[in-house]
Amino acid sequence: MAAGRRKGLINGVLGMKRKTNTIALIRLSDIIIIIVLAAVSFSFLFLRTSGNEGLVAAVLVGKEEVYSFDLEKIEEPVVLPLESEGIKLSIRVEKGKIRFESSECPDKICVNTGWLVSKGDTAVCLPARAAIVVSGRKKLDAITG
Amino acid sequence: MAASLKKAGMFIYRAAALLTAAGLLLFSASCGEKGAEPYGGQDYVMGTLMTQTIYGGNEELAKKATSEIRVMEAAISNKFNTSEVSKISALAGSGGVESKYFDIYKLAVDVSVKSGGAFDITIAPVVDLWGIGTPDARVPSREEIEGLLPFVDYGFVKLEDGTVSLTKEGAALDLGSIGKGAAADLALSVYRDAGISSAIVAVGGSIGVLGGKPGGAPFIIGVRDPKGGGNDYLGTLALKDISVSTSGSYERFVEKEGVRYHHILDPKTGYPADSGLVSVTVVHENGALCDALSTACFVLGLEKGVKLLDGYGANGIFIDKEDKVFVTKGIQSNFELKDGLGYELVKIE
Repeated sequence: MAAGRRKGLINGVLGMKRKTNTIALIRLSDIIIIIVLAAVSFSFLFLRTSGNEGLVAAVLVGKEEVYSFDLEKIEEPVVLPLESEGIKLSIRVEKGKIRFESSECPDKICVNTGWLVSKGDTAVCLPARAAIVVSGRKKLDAITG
Repeated sequence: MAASLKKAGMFIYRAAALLTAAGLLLFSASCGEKGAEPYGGQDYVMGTLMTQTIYGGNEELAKKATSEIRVMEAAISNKFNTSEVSKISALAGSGGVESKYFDIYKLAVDVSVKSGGAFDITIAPVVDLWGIGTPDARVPSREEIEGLLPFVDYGFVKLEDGTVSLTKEGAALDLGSIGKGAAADLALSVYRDAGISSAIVAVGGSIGVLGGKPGGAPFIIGVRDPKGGGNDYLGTLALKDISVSTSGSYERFVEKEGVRYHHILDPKTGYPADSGLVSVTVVHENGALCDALSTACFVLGLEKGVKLLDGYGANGIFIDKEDKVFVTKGIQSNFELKDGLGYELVKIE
């Protein structure tokens, strides 16, 4: 009885009207198979992108990546010294964010950029040829300005 | 009989259900493939950071774009003594140089003429005097500036049969306000030649967009919030197959006695342009043109700037000191202003 009601409900959801004494065109087991397959296929989709879900920051000097962090996994704030092109800089990393904390460069554009918190965020110190690039969560494709 | 028909019908539906599910599996897997990581890379060119995102591209292609841009930079940058621009300046008043990049000079002079000199690639002596963005940045005296103004006039640039020359001794060229846009153009042409149909390149704030994202959605470009940091934006532009460039007074400047002197100099006065604007973003198919026009519009101010853009069929976003954001007609439906930042959107009719 309870199973019959459930079947009726499912067919109602599918918009199919039928008499209760005929054989179900789509069985409960079919629905389960569809749901399972759909879940499996979407999990593939999820697994493919889940590697990018976290926030990853790369610190580049020239073209070379000197540090890389999974920002979500930082528990205690970290301050890192860096020296490039004769300029001393420091980078501060906290949970979910990263920034140039200090720089001996003349214009301080890098420090003034502030915290980087989402994918695509970048901070650059041109005189030192140092950059922080964040990848992970998608927000923008580019920034003009 | 009736029962076997029902059985057949049941079989068909079950088969259909399984096929649907299988289809879904394949579809989602192929989606994953399509959305698959575009090639992305960073490098330094034109004195700034270049970020390339090429769908269906690879490192080799990105490197090709970078190396072609470096070749161009070695020619049109006045930072290198060996560049053709440095040679043209050194030969000012006596000779010229044949250039592969003649079209860039031509475009620069065209914008100079049409903007009445608000954009001027002969600004070099004054730019060097201020030195904004270099360790030698300083606020020069009025006498120093006025002493150099007679050397600033785009009328000195002579373009003839692919040869560029300066007719006045002591005059010099600076293509800094057009080079990044030209570099973005060059990158897009490298991608196009390789059969790529979806890519975005940012050379500093000059953005080149090829096609839309895979699947057809437009690329989303943030317009920098002049009051925020380098990654803060006040609104977004959703665009395909286009270039975008911004000139703003917020980034590079030199400070003296509490006064900020920004880097966009008015060729007429030799001082930072003061037209009531803090930022101008230009949207057009030609990236070099966007770059030049954003500088010209910043110097000209809102009204004359809009007219200049009209003449080129370009569009723009003008942000003034009162936090008003003026958007020209052609991109009003592409632009979205962020709430809560205190800016007021004004649509230009």
